[in-house]
Amino acid sequence: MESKPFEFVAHTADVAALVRGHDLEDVLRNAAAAFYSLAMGERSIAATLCRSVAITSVDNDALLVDWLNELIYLLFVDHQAFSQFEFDELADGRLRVNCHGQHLLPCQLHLKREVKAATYHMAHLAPDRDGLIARIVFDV
Amino acid sequence: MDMLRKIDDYRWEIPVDYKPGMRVPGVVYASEAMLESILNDEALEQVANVAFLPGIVGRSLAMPDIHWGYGFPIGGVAATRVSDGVVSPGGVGYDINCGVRLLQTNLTKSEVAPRMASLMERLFRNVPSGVGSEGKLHPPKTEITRLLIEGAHWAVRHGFGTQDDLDATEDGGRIEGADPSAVSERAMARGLPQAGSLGSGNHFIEVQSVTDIYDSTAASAMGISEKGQVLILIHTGSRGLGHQVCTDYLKTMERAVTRYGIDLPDRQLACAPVDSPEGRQYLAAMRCAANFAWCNRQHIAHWVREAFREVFGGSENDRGLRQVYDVAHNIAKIETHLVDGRRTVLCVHRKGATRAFPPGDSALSARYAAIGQPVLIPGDMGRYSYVAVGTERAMQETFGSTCHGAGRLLSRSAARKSMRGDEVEADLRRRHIHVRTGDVPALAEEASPAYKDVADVVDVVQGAGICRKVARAEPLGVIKG
Repeated sequence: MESKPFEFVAHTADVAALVRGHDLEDVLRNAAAAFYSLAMGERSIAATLCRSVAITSVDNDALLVDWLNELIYLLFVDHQAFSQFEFDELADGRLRVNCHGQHLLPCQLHLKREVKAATYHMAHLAPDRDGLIARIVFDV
Repeated sequence: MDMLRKIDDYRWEIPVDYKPGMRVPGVVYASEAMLESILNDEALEQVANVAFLPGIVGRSLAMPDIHWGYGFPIGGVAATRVSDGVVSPGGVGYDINCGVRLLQTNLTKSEVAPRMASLMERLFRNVPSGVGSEGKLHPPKTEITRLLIEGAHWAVRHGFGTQDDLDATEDGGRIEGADPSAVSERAMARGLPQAGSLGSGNHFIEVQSVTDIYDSTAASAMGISEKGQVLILIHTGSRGLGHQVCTDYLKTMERAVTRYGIDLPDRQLACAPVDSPEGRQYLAAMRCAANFAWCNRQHIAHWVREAFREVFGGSENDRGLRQVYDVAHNIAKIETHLVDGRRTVLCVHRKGATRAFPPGDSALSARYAAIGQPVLIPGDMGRYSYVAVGTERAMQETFGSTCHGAGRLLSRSAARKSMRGDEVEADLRRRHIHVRTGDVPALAEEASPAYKDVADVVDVVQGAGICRKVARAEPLGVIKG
């Protein structure tokens, strides 16, 4: 049976997600999907907007957290959500990616949960049966 | 239990040799009965991890409302030497200066009860709330710098409250050393539209009535005089501005730990020396967020007063609504405490903990000099909350700190699985507790079974002598974000 790309697991104060992927790119996509599921619920995101994002972090574990914090900012401040990602560069704590998604008008926003941040707590990419697995604790 | 050594009925030690790298022992304030739930998750490991922080003094402390957070446990207190210790944004958290403000009224439960529906409606309308809620303030760009420096003073200067409110606020509602140039454009963009809003999650406005008075002298100083008296409790923080300040500086600290050769068991504890460019910049930005939160609660208190005026009319004297106190729950403060008999300047991190200074402390206004600092301890929306005062014992043992609330027992997902929000709402209504929210399903996450019984928590801190009960109040109505 194929593992789920992400699942939410118990955390007393906040919300934790287990995210899997065949490789780092896949984990970043699935982590984005986990975040949007948490913040917006299960809804489709159109691809009518393209935005370039570049991040430099100290390593890939931190990159995963910083990536999610970038998406948190873009959703809660710029009201933009993304569903497709084309990675131009991804290695050694650096990424450059074109994010395809949509701008959400206030009447479309319907945010389900305020996500303050993705935290570094327990954030660690580890080998898994199908590739990589990471745990992310979101402060909500 | 193996990691804990019983000191007495209220204190448990995590020995310094529990993990190689701990610089001091941990001490957990809890009853034996509470330990089962505390041991259920990673909270005690986090108490031990905090003991790794360079420059930590005394003990890595955990209050009885402790639960698993990220980096620091919620309910954690840690003090580091300013001279050679560190400051950790994770020791404050994302909601910088999340805190509570209590107003008394001169109204009684029997006077308020017949108009509760319209009061709740008016409060809900007057105070923006909900996920991503935007505030009513819209401060002009030219005023933003002043708002971040002046905190609640900015609000009072613009007609939202009085000097009496500032006198009844921790740090007078304005912490010194705030530097807006340390706050990123992103933090400004994320936070400023939310100036003057309650937010969501566990933030609330609660209308309460006094059920018990344990210390009539202290209660009287607070304007609390009889059972049945109505109080208002406001719980919110620095909204998106604080969230982004913490995010920004954790990234800075990630690099700082390498630069300064700091070894930590959890990356969320990322830190830098207090006396370093990174440490000073973080504190300057954190203070801006703290001031933003005090300004936020000052405005909300004003709109609460307006709601009472609109619903009950009469004179200001009839309604009351004098501020009892306002305390921060998530903050790092530079304070002087006795360490091994010597006065030492410390950076006290309170992450889900409340300052609890004793009678006579110079930080207190004349109103509270004789009784000590009011400590506000919210419970859950179905039970009760407490008002207490700080003690000398807290100064000796906990850097003048005590608990901040009930503490979560169930995760949010577990709470949602075990209860439905509409059933929680119906149960509260049956018990004559009015609820107004834009998110009924989320009520399950905040229902009583999701939290420890705050009475148990308060019994521990009182038993340990790190604060003293003054009064208890039960909810009549709650606005949930």
